[in-house]
Amino acid sequence: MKRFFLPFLVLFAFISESSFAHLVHFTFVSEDYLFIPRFVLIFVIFITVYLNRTQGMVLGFFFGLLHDIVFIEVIGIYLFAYGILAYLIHKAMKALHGHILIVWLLIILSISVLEFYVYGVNYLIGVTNISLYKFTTLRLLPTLSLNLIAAILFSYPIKVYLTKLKLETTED
Amino acid sequence: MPQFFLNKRLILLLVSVIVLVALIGFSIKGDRKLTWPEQFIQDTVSVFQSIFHTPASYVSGFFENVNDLKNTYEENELLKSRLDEYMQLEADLQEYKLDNEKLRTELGAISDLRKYDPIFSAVIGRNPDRWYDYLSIDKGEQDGVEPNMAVVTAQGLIGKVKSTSQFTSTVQLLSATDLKNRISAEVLPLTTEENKEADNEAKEKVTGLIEGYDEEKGALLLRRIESKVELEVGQKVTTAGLGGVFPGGIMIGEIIEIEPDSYGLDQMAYIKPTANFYDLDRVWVAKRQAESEDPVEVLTQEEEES
Repeated sequence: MKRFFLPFLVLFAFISESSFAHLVHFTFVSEDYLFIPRFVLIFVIFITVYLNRTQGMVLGFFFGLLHDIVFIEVIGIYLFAYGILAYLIHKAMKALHGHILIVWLLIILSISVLEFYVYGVNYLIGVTNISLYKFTTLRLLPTLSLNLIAAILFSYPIKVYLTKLKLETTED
Repeated sequence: MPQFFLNKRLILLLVSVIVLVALIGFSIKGDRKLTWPEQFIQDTVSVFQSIFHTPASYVSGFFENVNDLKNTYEENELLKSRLDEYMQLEADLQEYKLDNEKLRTELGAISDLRKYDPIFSAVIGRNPDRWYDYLSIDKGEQDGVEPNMAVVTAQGLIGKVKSTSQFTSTVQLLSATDLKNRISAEVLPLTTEENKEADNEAKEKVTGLIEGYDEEKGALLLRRIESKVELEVGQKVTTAGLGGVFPGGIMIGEIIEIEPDSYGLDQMAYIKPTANFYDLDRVWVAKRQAESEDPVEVLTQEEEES
């Protein structure tokens, strides 16, 4: 039972993304600003940092594929994005100190990489034609602020849970 | 050179890039039907989505109610002033409906493009990255939903069904910038006092095609309107029901701006949609009663028969 709890947690994050997009409207800002939840990526990064690389990458691939199939029906955009980002995070953590501030910084960095990548792919296949300036002001900055707040809120409970899980797995 | 090929990670990266491009190329085709694994995954996820969505919408509904309470007084005043107008309108409408029915029975059996069976459904999620404006709803093929059907709220048209699985479907909103998203529309004449007295015979239906969405203005583009037609700001636009499986007479929006099209041959109008694309909860899929026939298919069938 315990083995399935972590994937369920990520599935919860995955579904809350779509419910967030559907139900949450910030009335104090104009509707032009798009706050895009990236909770799955935040979870995948925390798992890579605090648990291990393999689980992070596998969950990343799986939920990337799920995102492609369920939400956008164009397979391939998110498929490798989460997994590769998890791999890069693992590489970066080898060189960096595992302080929580560093993790937040890496989350910000990987979300902006993801946003730029998705923007680039969608621009290439002709889904969008908005300018880079508009992309950064209307999409990137609100998204980064939202996800930073989410990451800060999530970080403590997730860290406690994952370190406990890691201790259990190493003891076995 | 051999060292280059021995680098396992690099090869893996290259292979995954190739797979990625191939997959995107495969799945980007316009009218692709979902394969069964995709349908299965969508249906499975939708179960979790609906479980999660119910409590979440209660919470958000509570906050909305608090917000609504603040505006109640002003809204009430406004509505009171509109009430008298409404009574008059309703009386007129009843009269017209009766007239219409009488005339139709005299005409005999013609298929009405306006009639449709609504399939009521709840929105269970929205695509979180807003590049594609898609919604998921909890009715699918088993409930009679088919691709390209119109999706409507009480306020007006919001989009069309993009693809279906067995128990869920994906709705593409009008605000998606997709040039293939064409909808035949017609412009209704303004009903002001002067117009009523003006000549009635000159009121021909103005038709055009909704092609695309202007994100800056937040308005739909109505194209292919003949250049000699005179349009006015404030005219209402509804679906025409010509072609495809869209029923006619569904409100789309109001003209806010008119300008000549790129080559000056046609006119183009910006239309502000009446439906709100951000606050959607209950929608219905409009299943038109009149049969739609693909003229090419009918022709080939007739040829085969003869």
